[in-house]
Amino acid sequence: MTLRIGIIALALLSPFFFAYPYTLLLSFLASLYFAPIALCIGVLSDVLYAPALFTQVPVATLLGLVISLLALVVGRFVRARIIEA
Amino acid sequence: MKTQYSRRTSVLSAQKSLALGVLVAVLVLLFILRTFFPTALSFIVSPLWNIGSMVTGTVAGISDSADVREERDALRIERDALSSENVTLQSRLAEIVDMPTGRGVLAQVRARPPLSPYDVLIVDEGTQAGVVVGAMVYAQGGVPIGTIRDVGKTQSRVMLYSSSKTETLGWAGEQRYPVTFVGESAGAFTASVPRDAEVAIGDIVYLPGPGAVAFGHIENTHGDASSPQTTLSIRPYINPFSLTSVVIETGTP
Repeated sequence: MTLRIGIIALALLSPFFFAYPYTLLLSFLASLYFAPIALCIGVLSDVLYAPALFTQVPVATLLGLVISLLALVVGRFVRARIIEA
Repeated sequence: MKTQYSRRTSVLSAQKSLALGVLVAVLVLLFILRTFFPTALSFIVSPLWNIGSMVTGTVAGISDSADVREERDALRIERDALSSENVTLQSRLAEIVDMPTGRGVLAQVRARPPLSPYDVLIVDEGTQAGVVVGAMVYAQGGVPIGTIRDVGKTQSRVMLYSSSKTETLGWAGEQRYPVTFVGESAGAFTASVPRDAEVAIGDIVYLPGPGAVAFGHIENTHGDASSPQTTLSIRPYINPFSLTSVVIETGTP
C-alpha cells in the first residue's frame, strides 16, 4: 500500500522534478496501480509546459491517455493470468 | 471439474473514485489558473520548479564531472586566445557603443528541457517587464534561440527554434547559402540543401538577428547518392539543457 502511494505521488510530482522520459516511466508504473493517473499527469504536464493550451495538439495528454489504456490492458491481462493459475 | 468464479468488480472502487475526483478537481483548478490567473499558477508551482531545477542541476553536475575537467583544460587555452581578441574587439566596440541598439530584459530560466517535454523554456519575466508575445529571445553571445509564445504577468513561455518541426530561415557557410532549419527537439536542427550547394562539414550556420548571427556549425552531412538533396545535421552552440538565463527583446526604446 505504501509502495503504491509512493509511486503514485512520485509520478504526480515528476513533471516538476524529472526529465520527461522518467515521467513517462513513472506514469506507466503508477498506472498499473491506478490507471487514470497517467492521463492526469499528461494533463498536468500540458497545463504546466504546453506553449498554448487551445491552439495545439496536447501531446502530453494524449500520451497519458495511451499509457492509461495500456496499463488497463496490462493490468487486466495480469489479473486474468493469476486467476487462471 | 471444479469451476472457478471471480466476482466482477467495477473499474474503480469508491476510494479510487474519490481520489480521482480530487485529482480532476485539482487539475481543473490548475487549468483555470493557467488560463485566467497565470501569475497565481506561477506562484503556486514556483517552489516545485526551483526544487526540480536544483535536483537536475546536481545530478547533471555529478555525471559530468570528468567531462567538465577535460573541458576546463581546453577552455583555459581558448581563454588566452580570446582575451587577446577581446582587446581588439573592445577598441572597435568603443566606436559603436553610442549607436542606438534594441533593448532587452534579462530573465532567469525556471524550467527547461528535458524537464519540459516540449522544447519550451519557462522564464521569470512577463508583461510586467514589457515582454510581449512574439518577442525574440537570445542566449549568451546574442544567439537567437526562440520566441515568446505565451506571456503572463511575471513569467513567459519561450518556444525554442529547435522545437520539433519548427522551421526557421537562415544561412549556411561562408557564402551565406539560404536554408530552412527544421527543429528536431533537444536543441538539434536539420536542413536540406541541393547536393551541389557549397556547404561542408564544419561550416558555420547563421540565424537572422541583428545581422547574421552564428548559432552553430554543420556536424554531419548525409543523403542518398541518388537524391538531389543533402541533409545537414547541425550542432548549435547553445545547449537548451543548460540554459540558466536569457535576454528577451522588449522593443522599448
